[in-house]
Amino acid sequence: MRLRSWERFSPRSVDAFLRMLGAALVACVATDAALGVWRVEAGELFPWRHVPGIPLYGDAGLVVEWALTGTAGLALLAGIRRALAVRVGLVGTLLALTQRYSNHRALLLIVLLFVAIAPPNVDAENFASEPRPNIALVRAQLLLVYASSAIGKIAHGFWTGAALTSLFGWGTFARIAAPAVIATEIAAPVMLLLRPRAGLALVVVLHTAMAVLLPSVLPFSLTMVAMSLLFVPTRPEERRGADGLADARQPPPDRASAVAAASLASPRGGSQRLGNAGALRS
Amino acid sequence: MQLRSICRALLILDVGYCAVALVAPRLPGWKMFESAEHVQYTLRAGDGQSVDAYAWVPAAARDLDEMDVVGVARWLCAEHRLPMPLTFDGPHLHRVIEAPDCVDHAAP
Repeated sequence: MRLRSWERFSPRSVDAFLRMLGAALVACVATDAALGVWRVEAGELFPWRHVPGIPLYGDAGLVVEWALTGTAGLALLAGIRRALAVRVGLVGTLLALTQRYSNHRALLLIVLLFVAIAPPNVDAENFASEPRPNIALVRAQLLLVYASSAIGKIAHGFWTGAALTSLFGWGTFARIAAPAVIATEIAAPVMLLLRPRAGLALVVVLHTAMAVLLPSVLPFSLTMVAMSLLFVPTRPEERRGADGLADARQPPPDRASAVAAASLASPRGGSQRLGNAGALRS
Repeated sequence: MQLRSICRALLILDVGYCAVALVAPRLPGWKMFESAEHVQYTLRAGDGQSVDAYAWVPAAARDLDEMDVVGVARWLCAEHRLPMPLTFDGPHLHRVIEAPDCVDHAAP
């Protein structure tokens, strides 16, 4: 991927990214409900990973948090009031993190924060030609997650398979699967940069497998897939369309100066001037 | 231009934090189950009954470490009034939790 295109995005991929981000927010509420978070707020279960110093806000607080998160998720999924939905989702996610820290919520918070800095409007003219550094940050975040995870796994001996054996009770298969997981985590970002569609397929396979084996990580999987959608390149017609509009409004400086130079050089008609301009450009 | 500067600063912060989290095991980071180990422990109430810490945590808590289990024991002492004292024995920690303050201290 070229540096210039690092900050430029296809409106279709940003649209898909926002919808998938909405699905991740909805999945947060669904997995919370399935995993007994209600019972934590009701005092029946230990508040695991509760941030010290911030009180549990009880059933009523949980209803507010789920309402904010769920509504924001549904709005993003449906493509309604996205700028507002991103900010509401950010508040809901921040509230949830004070009650129970989890990596998938931390990742969602970071991504929502980056998007909320300047929420993209995918219907805007010239979308594909405008730089969007805050959305490029989301791309960078995905690379950081994979790099950190792969380095951490190598450093902590994940490749032996012990962690997978502990998690799933696998035997020999864990020793085969563990290096494959590390290899995939290294290959996925490289592929996303070099062969985005193949990279996206790899990310989908990896995170679908994770979500099937550990359903509680479904929001994380959806967020990672959402982020990887941003690597899908701008299609040629999107680029041409945007550039064409720019041409219609303002001639590029080289063409304008060439026409001016040709008019000074020749007192003859316009066609002759354009011809000269072409000669000057070549 | 201002947006790009903000984004650049955020990126530097982000990369810096990830680097620190890689070398600080207690800091949250993108570890994605880099290590998961079921701690072998015994937790007993004052009447000698065994207590399963996993029965008292949300289903998402798959890998409680020793400090987590001691935390569960303190919470059980404070919220559920199990027969005291609670005694925890793990590979590296041996703690006793007593009512009414429910603070843990080293087992004798």
